[in-house]
Amino acid sequence: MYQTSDIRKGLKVEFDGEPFICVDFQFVKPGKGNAFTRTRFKSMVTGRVLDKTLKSGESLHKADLEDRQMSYLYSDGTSYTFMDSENYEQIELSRDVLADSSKWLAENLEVNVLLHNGRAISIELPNFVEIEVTRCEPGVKGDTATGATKPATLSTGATINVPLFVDEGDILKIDTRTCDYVSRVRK
Amino acid sequence: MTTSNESTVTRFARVLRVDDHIIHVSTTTGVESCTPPSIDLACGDLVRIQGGAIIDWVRPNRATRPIEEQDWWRIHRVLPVLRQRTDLLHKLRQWFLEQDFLEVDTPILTAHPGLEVHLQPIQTRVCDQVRYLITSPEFHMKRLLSAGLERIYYLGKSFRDDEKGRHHHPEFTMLEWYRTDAEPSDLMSDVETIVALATGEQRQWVRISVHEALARWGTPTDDPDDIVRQLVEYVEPNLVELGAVFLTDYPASLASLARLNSDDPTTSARFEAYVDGVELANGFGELTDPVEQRERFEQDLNRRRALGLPVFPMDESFLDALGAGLPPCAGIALGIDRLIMLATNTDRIADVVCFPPDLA
Repeated sequence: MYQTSDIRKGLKVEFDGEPFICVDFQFVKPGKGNAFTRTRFKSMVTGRVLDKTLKSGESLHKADLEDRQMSYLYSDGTSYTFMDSENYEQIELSRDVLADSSKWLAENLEVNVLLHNGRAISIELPNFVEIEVTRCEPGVKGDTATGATKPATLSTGATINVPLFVDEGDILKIDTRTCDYVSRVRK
Repeated sequence: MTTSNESTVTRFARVLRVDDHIIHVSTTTGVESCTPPSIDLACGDLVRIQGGAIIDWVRPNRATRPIEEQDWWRIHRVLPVLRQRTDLLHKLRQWFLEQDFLEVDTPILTAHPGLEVHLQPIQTRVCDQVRYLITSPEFHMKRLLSAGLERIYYLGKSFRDDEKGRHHHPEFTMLEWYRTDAEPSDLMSDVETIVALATGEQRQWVRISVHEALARWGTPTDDPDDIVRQLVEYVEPNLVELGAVFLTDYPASLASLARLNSDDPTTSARFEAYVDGVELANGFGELTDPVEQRERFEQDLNRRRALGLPVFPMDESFLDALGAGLPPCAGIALGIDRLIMLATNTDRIADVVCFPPDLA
């Protein structure tokens, strides 16, 4: 249990069984009245925002959250199977939970899976992933400086813009936060 | 600096930034650029400057705290606000002088703190006796009014435990003033003048009663705790758009030390001033009846006991002063730090004081 005095940005609590993270708060107290904390929480599942005015001394439920290191195994198109790197336990995540992350899931990619009450609610990708190019226009040799780009399709199904010298079969380093090409790793 | 030649004056400064060909230093009059001397200066070093040149390396900065927490860095940022603060306090004292007010220096240490349930006094010991830091100077000021003073103000610190946030510090600067033979409306026009003095702009003030506000944005009720909750949850956010507002005629259950209105005793002569949604001041047509005052103290003490809060001795000297005859009067307390926030367009008390609580 948390008290209102524990509230700070980033605090993770539970309302009606749904985990929320605090994104803003303010202590308020009208001159002669009791104190309150105005809060704004964001759902860690759906992203919806919840504004709540809490009376001082009210208690909040701590969200039961757990981070687990898992590696991606395979997908059947609707669900994605991961394996716990420590105890080899396998779990399946639906496309809804993965949202946009699924397009960077290369085989054996290590990710952090966030569990709430034992149920996976989101995954956290590494900042950089390395994925093979499966389809693009043939590479233009020596062209490393013009800054021109072309689309390339990756083995995970994602399409990104890459420099002209990139060829099919290249392994690329990609920034998952910006979805940008970073460098060519090796051929 | 009219008497001395600018180029011969030497001053202390702090190195803010070292570039290749120029060094920026912080001085009491702002940031200046200097040509670098042959020594290797680092950010934070104390130097002596003269006519745009660094002439002496006084002390290297060996402080170990992060730079944002070092006093010289914070004060450098707060300095323009400190100037405005000095200027405003001067103007306020001047204005009160012109209005024939007396500045009173009432005690900060008292044996009898306010009893209001939602104000928590800070306890200390003085000469082996329990004392409290005042939550407001009101008891002492009313004793002065009963003793014959007519227009008085206090400009100084008040203290409230358990209040810390963007708009609350446990110690804060309060301006409190009283007029005998005056009504809340007289204080409202004082507030209008003072806010205009501080911000340099005239505002159109709106008056709206607590009942009207609840009917408009909430649900009218008799439960004082629910009224306060609705004020916080529904009313205050809506006051932002109204700009400058007097929220008037608080229900009798939230009268605090205000008298009840004679035309409607379910309401009191208590009001609050809000500017852009921030509460600036709380004013009363004062309760002068010693019997009713004693009853309210007893109610406060009973509620404190019921809530498991500490109880304090009633201020018998204050009740005696009411018994001796307190002339009809009106009084108000205004938060100076928040007024300066308004004047400098900032949203945190921490940005308008030298030392926020965590660095005090």
